[in-house]
Amino acid sequence: MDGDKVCAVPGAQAMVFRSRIWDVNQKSLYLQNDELVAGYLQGPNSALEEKIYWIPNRNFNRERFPIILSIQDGSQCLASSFSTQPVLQLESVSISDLYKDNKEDSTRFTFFRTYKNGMWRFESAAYPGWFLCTSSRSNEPVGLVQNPGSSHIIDFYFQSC
Amino acid sequence: MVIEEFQYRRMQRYRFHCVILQYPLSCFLWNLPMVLYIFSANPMGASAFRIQRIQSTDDCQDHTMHFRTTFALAGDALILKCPPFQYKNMDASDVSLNLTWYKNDSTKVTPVGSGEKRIISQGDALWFLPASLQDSGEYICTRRNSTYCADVSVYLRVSEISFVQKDMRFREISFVQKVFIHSRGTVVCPSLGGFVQKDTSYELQWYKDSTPLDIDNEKFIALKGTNDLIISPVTSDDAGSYTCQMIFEHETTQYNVTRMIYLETLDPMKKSIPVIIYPTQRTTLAAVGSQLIIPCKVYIAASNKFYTDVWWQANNTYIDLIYPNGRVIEGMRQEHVENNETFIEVPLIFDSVKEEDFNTDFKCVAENTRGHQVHTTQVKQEEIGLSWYFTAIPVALAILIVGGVYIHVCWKQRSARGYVLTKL
Repeated sequence: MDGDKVCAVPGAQAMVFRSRIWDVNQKSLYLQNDELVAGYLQGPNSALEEKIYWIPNRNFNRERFPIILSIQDGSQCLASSFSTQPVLQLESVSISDLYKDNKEDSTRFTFFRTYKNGMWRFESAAYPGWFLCTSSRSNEPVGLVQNPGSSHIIDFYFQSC
Repeated sequence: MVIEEFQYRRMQRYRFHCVILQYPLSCFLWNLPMVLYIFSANPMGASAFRIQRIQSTDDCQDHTMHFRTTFALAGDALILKCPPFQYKNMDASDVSLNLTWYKNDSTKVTPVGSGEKRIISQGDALWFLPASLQDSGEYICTRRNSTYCADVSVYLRVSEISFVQKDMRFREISFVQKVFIHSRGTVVCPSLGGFVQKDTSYELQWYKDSTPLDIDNEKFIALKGTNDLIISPVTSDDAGSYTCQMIFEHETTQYNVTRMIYLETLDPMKKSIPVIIYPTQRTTLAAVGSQLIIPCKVYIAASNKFYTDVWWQANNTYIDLIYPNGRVIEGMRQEHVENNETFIEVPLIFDSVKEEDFNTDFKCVAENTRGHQVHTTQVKQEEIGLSWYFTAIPVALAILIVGGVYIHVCWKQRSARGYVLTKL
């Protein structure tokens, strides 16, 4: 850990916060062929772990902790989109630019963060009831799930770093 | 012959990189996975990758360099999976390609996984039963039909357990995991997927610093058929090196499967309700037309690892919604540390105070997951009459004093003259 320093980095308009995230099965997030996946990183591979860069989204009710999540220093944002059902995508857009967007434009990038027993869940603002999830198997994409069974994990540890 | 050509083209690729990087070849080959990772992770990566691909066009149309090295122990059963391909020149769904494995030694490329008992190609993986030191190196997983070919390079490093157990080496092969002190922590024996056979019970042996863990005591729980070691409650002494091991049986031979974990214990996330320490007053004075800044300063105690949100509202509405023209704005959030205590400050900035502001409730709200606090302040008009008094009273006093002194001096001079006259 980087100690107790507040390690928010000032963006162009907003303060962008940096956190580490890992699921309750100890899987970290990393990129594989431009896709965000969760798995176990061995030895020096742990340097590939993606840190989460995030900002609160001011367009939504703040009491629900609405946030926009990104990786790669804030250059790739996590977005909920729809094919046959809600899916998670990475969009090449700077998180500092999204800060200024209106409610409609920023909805797909927004997640409501809830906290329980030391763990966090991230609910898609665009698709209520759908949560950010990892697969219970290693090295599989991060996605969205509505009714997590034993095959999906929606509880994460999320800590400033 | 074909293999030699293949090898030659690969060496060409490496040489090309060496020229770019001005690296000694031996040093470069050692660091190759990391160097290639750096290349693919930064904007330079695109061009470096393209150059590499031109070199391999008559070889395989799509070449992917897998950036994660697999580390394994000699004597263990090992599964080396063919990583996902990047099909740039072909629709990935249209795959009816044969998979073959090659090993790229420093001098030659040899096919692996066929006709050998110890190394078996099965599905998209290469099984080592068991792995040995000389298996270290670059493996190339190739998918090919008569017209198309794609390949992925993956690196394997096999070490002796005695080598790994030396302190510094343990980190090279281990998976880092994190648990919070005072809570119930779960350590997971990772990447056992291929070895766990369906409907077969299995049991893991757990060690800390090479000593078997006493699973029967209340502190550690490891349930059969799971990959979890539950530590309850976690203390800072639980940090360190763990090893989990399972037995894998293949054709009546038993092999070890060993994973090493470096466990970090994190301080529990202390949290407290944020406290608004400024403004303290219920009213703030301002004149119509003047500029005004009201800072909201919040003390977050030990909650600095948690996000505390601080914002302003006007009559229960967010500032940017009620003042879309920006006459009143919420200033940028600032976080600072004073005497090891963390504070957040968010100012409310009035470009020009208007009369309507005197009838508005301005609220500063500070919230984290532990709770929230609200402070309401009102802007009141500065009393012009009163301010006139404040200016007039000192002026009047000054005139009185000056006048008094003048009169006193005149009177003294007159009486002095009178005295002289009397004397004369």
